[in-house]
Amino acid sequence: MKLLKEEKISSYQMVMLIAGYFLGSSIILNPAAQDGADAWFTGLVNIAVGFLIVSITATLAMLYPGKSLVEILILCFGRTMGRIIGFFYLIFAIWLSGVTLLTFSNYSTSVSYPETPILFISICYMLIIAFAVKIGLEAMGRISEVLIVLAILISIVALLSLVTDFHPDAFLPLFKNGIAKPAVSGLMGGVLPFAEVFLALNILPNLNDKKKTFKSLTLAMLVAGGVMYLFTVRNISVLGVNMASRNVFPSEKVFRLMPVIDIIPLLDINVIVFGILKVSLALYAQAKILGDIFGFKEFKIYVLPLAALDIIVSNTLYPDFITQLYVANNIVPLMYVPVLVVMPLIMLIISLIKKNNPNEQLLKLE
Amino acid sequence: MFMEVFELIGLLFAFAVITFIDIPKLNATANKKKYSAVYYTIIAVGILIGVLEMFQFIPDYDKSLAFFFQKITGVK
Repeated sequence: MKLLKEEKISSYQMVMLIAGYFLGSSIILNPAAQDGADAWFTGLVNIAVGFLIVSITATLAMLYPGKSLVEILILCFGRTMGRIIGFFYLIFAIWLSGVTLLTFSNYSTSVSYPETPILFISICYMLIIAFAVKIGLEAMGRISEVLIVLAILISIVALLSLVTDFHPDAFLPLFKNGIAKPAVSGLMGGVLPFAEVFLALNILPNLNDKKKTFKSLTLAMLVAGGVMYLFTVRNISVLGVNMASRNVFPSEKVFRLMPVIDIIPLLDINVIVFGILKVSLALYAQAKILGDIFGFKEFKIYVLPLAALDIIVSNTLYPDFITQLYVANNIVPLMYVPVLVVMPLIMLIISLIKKNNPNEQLLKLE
Repeated sequence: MFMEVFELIGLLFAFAVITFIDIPKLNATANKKKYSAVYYTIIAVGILIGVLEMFQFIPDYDKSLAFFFQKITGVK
């Protein structure tokens, strides 16, 4: 049998890969903009909450260096229970891929290619994603270390070219709706992109320097949180509170306001880069979880059928984009709390108890 | 109906192409039976969901759960 080469990525590549994964759909939907003039505060709460959530996953990864999500689940809950919970995370990863793919395809059909059927766009995106996952995590790391920097540069260029249109008074009066409302909104908003880091446990064993796990994850969170914050502040100060909160794709409106040149294609590049990276990581996680549940080393065989399944799921999920937005804003955060915050917390507590109890027999993996 | 049949052929063709691409790799694995069982289960699930969606057998769960969603979120 052919020996499988272990894929390793550097800390910098990991930071860029996970930052792209976080930015994913948030870059076009901009959830914090809903809080209007208080969005500057909501954005800061988002980052603080994100730091706490990312710390849980990072600590788990540090406690079990070189172990993937299902392996950690097995060590925490036992062989059978760990695999059953792992199976639910597989379904979650399939759902996440489907939703993200649908968001990007909806964006493309609404903004760039209105005449093109959404299924065709989904298939085109998924072909690139499946190819990226097939060629491996090392290649994905190298792609992200170039493309994420490019995407961030595009965001900075867009920010600087609109400086003359900034209206800082859009944020006045401060705390018009009190401090509690934007704080609660920030709590839920922080959960939405940053809690998804839990799935990144599937790629963390591939980090070449395990000691840098915590640093890489928190840095990725800060990069993504910073970019999201800049986008929110820019959109509100350029468009105003009402326009920014009512618009489905506020960033697209801001890019259209750019004088003289049409830089919408640059936003399209950003959207494609972040979207492809997010779905790639989710697809990689699906294949890895499936491989770990059944004890398969060559899990990449499942990439193509899982990619096809993701397209079908994305086509089945929501009848229209408005329903998707309603669910994303109101239902998804409620689902994320038990699945991506409470569960990692329980795992962390179990791990710490096991670590401090010398009599505890740790399960050996097959 | 004609459109649905056309879509069904497209779906089956897509999965046939995917399987054709992966068969050599499946045959080269150490535990071919186990790998193939999981592989064809994913294909079967994909075809099942695709067919159910195509012929609109899947209920509109967003509409069915709308009351429950409104109750827990308080958002109409």
